[in-house]
Amino acid sequence: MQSVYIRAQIGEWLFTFFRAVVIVLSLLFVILPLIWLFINSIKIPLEWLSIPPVIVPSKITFENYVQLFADPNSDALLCLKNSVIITLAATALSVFIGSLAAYSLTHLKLPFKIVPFIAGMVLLLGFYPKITSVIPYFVVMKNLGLMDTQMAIIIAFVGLNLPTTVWLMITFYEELPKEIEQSAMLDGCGPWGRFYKIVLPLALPGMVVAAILSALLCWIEFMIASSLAIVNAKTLPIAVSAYLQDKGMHWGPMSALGTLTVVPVIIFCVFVQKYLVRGLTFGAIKE
Amino acid sequence: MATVRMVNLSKYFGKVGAVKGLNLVAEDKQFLTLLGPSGCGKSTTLNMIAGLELPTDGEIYLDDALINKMPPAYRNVAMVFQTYALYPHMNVWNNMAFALRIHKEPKEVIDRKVNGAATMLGIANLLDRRPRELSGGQRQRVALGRAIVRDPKVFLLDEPLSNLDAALRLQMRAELKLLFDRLQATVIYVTHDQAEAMTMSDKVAILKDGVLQQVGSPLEIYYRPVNRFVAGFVGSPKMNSVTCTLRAEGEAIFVRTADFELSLPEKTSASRLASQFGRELVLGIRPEDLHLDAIENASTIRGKAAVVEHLGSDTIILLDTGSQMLTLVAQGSATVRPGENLSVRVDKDRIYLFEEDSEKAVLTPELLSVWGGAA
Amino acid sequence: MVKRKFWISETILLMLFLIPLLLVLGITDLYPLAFSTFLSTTSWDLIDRGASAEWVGLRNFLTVLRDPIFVDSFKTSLKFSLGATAAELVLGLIVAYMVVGESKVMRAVRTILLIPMFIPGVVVGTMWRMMLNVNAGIVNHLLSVVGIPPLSWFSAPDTALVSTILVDIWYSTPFVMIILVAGITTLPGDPVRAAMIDGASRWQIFRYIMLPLLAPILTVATLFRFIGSFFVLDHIYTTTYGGPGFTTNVVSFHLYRQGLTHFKLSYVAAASWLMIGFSLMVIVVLRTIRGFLERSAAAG
Repeated sequence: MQSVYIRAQIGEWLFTFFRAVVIVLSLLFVILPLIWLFINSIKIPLEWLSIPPVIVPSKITFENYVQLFADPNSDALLCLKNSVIITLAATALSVFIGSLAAYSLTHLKLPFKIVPFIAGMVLLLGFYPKITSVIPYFVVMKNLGLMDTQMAIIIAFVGLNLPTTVWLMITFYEELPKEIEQSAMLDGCGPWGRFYKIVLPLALPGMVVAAILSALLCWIEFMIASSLAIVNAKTLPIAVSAYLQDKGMHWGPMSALGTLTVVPVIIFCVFVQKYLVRGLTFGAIKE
Repeated sequence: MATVRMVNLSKYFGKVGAVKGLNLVAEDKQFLTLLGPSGCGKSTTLNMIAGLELPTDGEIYLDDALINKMPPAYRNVAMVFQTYALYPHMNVWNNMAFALRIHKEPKEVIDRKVNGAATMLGIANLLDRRPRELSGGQRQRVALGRAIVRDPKVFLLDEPLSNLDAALRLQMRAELKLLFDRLQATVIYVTHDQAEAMTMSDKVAILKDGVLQQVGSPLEIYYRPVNRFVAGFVGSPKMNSVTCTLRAEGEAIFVRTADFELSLPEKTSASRLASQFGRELVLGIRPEDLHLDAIENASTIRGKAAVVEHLGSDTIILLDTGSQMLTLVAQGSATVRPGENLSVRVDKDRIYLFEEDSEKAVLTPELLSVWGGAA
Repeated sequence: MVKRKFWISETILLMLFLIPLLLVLGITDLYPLAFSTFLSTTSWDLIDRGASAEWVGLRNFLTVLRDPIFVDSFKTSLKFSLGATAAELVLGLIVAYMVVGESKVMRAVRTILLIPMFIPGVVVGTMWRMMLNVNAGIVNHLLSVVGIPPLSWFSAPDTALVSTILVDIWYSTPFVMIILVAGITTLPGDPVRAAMIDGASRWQIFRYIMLPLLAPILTVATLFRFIGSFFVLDHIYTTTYGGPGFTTNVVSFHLYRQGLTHFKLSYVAAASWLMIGFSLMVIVVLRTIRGFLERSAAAG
């Protein structure tokens, strides 16, 4: 019996080794490209396209970053500004509208199962390929004269995020005990009061999760934004793709631009990882 | 042969000691119960025997082989979980056959063993059902079947009856006892229900806060508890506790409480209890040792019936003696009405005395009978 | 009387809460979808703003289905999706199994591994484009250090698609991983412990107990990735732009180009609806497969 379980002990040790290998490899696979991106962004022009590529730059420069913003032809600054504004506005709006709507959907009572139907439809709208609505939306905005405005993009993004937000908030509201609201009702509180004073503070964690997911989505979205923005409303992702087309060989500044979009994401992730995981997995588990 | 020996077994979670220095033996073919309130360490001990937890200190021997670090798979023990832990995606047959398949038993052997166990447990007609289609009692039998089929050295059961309703629990108690008698197996059973422990076990080990209080046969535990905790834990309704002191009158000893006084039987000599005079003690009387057929004398307890509960088979009366409430159980239905004045007699051979501070037992019925013999 | 009025005003107020939602979704989804249906069944010309539009029934759909470029793009997408989904599922599962745990270390590891999915797709594409450059890219350089000749990655027709799959693996495996981690951590613990006592090895426990119980979540992950990868656009845009030739011209990219560069709106509308139909079919098929597998698992 002794020798058999020595085999098991070896097996377990092997597994631990294998596990370490997998983890290290995965971490490297994720981190190394990002580090490389950063290194590229601080290289001097001479070393951008060296063959073979330079791994340790002989000289470090931040000129690439400066160039991005200083160059009068470059609209990196504009794109950054747009991205920030659009992300903040769209996130705030989608969380606000979504929370309100989710509250309604969990409390409203109408005949013929209208309410669950609406809720189901809203959820479904989060799952169809957006390419279907990109073009018609584009036409609508063109007709409204809102082409190339932040507003058009913001509205689109809010629509993009609403299904997820509503769904998330509904599950959060369902976890809250009804008694709290019932006693408020008896005290004479109307729906707005109950929503604002009681439910909102309690559902804050849910709103944080929704806000985080929304913000992330807005920050990285390309397809819809690129269809709507031509000059004025360009976002960071658009700047990146444009840079590629115009100055694809300028690896330095291009990497700098890439790094600029990545760094906020990393910082963000570090601070909100707890909420992030909760939000992402919420949906999948409920299935 | 299947003996489990625990030597100085301890398990600490950080600073918290779940099990502290446990020394216990489960003999071959013995039914040992680990009894105690929640958090006393009984489940942790079981887990260590199964191999699901690693001991912090001490050793566990299975038939003289040290198994502390041995993976559960090699210990040849089978466990029945409180939640049954059936494999939800497999049907009953596969649940029971799983372990045998893992051990690469030939098909005929598997068929024989699984069908045999299923018939023994009366679940042969459920073999193709899935756990979620079964009732609690049926699931439990499948869990038992899964364990039986393995023909293990030791059966470990972790509160298997807790999730069943009261009637089923009673029925299963008897069935389990019969089953394990028939299987001639070594069983280590964990429960917080003292009735289960008393009715099913050959030996009972009582734990409190990770420390073993007492090991013995059910009757030993009942009539010779080592301390107040053990005395109070077994027996239902719970034993009455009254603060008292001892008083001597010549050779006779009297137990004096706030509301009444009892004379101890002649067998108790003042000398044996000498050290207890002048100290605060606790008098223990079990509800079934208080009787309504009192002849008025100095040792009668008088009081008013505060609550009367008619169970049909018994009557539980809460007696208000003035400064205290005593519980007494009368056989059958007693014609007592709430508010009625009662005179109650104590069975003097069944008195317990405990030290106030250490809670150690100073006098027990067992001791009384021993002294009676000696005198 | 008071009660009735109270309920009515409650209901009205609650309905008001819904209005912003319905307005926004109306503009961003409902109207566009309706318009898209309209577009797909008419011949619409952007130039004259639809003045000459006439109803053509299913003609647009047929045009799309007969278009060799569309069919080819569908095949390309199929290859891409199958490859990417399979790889991401396997890798995601392996990594997920290794990184479960509540320790600070594991949580930190999981956070780091999540980063790729939150980087804009275009940036991911740009980054890999530079890394996989045949001459100046770091990957070929590292390969040559260990003696492997340089690969053509994005520049050659036969390797371009595989290269984009590689990029998608980097981009999307984190998503699969985190879903599976959640699935594994919510598995019931007792059956696993029972299996340990029954004598099963780590691998046996994984194969016979965990995997079957993970089936629902695996199905969800597969669904998300398979369908999702049909509509991936961002990194293709910046790595290959559909080429070389048409070798990475996936459906989403093809439609994007047709719609926003060539303005063939009816074509794109019809094709989109076809793709939605396809997605629904995939969902049904996967559900059936899962049900079938579940039943065979029970019977042993």
